[in-house]
Amino acid sequence: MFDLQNPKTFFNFSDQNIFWLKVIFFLTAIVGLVFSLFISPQDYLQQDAVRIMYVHVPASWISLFIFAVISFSSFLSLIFKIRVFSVYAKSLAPIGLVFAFISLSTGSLWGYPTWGTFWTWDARLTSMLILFFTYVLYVVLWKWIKNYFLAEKITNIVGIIGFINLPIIKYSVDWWNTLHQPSSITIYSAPTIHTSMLFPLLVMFFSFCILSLLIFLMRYKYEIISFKNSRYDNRNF
Amino acid sequence: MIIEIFKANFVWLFVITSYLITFFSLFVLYFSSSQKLSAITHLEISKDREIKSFSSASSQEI
Repeated sequence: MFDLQNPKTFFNFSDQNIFWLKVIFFLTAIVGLVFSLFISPQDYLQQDAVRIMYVHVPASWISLFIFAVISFSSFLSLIFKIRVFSVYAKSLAPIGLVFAFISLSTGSLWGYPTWGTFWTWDARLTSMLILFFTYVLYVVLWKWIKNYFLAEKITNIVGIIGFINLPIIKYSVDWWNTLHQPSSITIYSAPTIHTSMLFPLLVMFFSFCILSLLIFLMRYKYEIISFKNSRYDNRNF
Repeated sequence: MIIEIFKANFVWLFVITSYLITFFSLFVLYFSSSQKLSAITHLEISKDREIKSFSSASSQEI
């Protein structure tokens, strides 16, 4: 059984699989790029601008998913005092932050040729911007607060409160009249986009997931080692 | 001439910029994480060596 509370499990997993994760990322990224930039067809309305979707959508999914994991880990860490979960959250936060940034910037670049504007205070865009700032706050709090336990407690609270924003982002396009289009892919119904566009989208998503796992394993190892060092050095505690 | 090319590839300019932003951001994140980890692992190894050399030196002295 994969023991989530034991850092050694992750260390062993990362030592054994990091090379293969890099290979899989590299191959899927190349396949994804070739399909999304050259092989996939143009959209009848958006023409080539639709190609931005292949980086924008996976980045948005991953940034939302990572924040959901951060919220869950923060909850477990705050309520059950299982420290390792706050280390998960701390290691994941910069990854989620970068994906939220990618989602916003590529969305903005997609907006100009399709909507005629880089930005609008639409419910989906605004809630995504709030998620980005929540990530910034989370990362900055860990940097600024020198006392580890205080930083852990405050960031856990931020992680839990930030969860409220996730259903708002997801359902904003249904609840409000927005410029942003509704989801084309949902869990409970068949996707409304053609397979020729769905394939590169899923390949890019898979590729970004592998890269996220790769970066998470590195950051987690770093956090565990620095936590151990600070404990021994008796600094910041 | 340049303006003509720019107009013809207007949408592609946005597409390429999006991909560049994406992969550049991920590249920076990956390398900063990798650098951080290798720096701290290096520190760990040198610490271990220091401890080992110290303990061997002191045992010789004894």
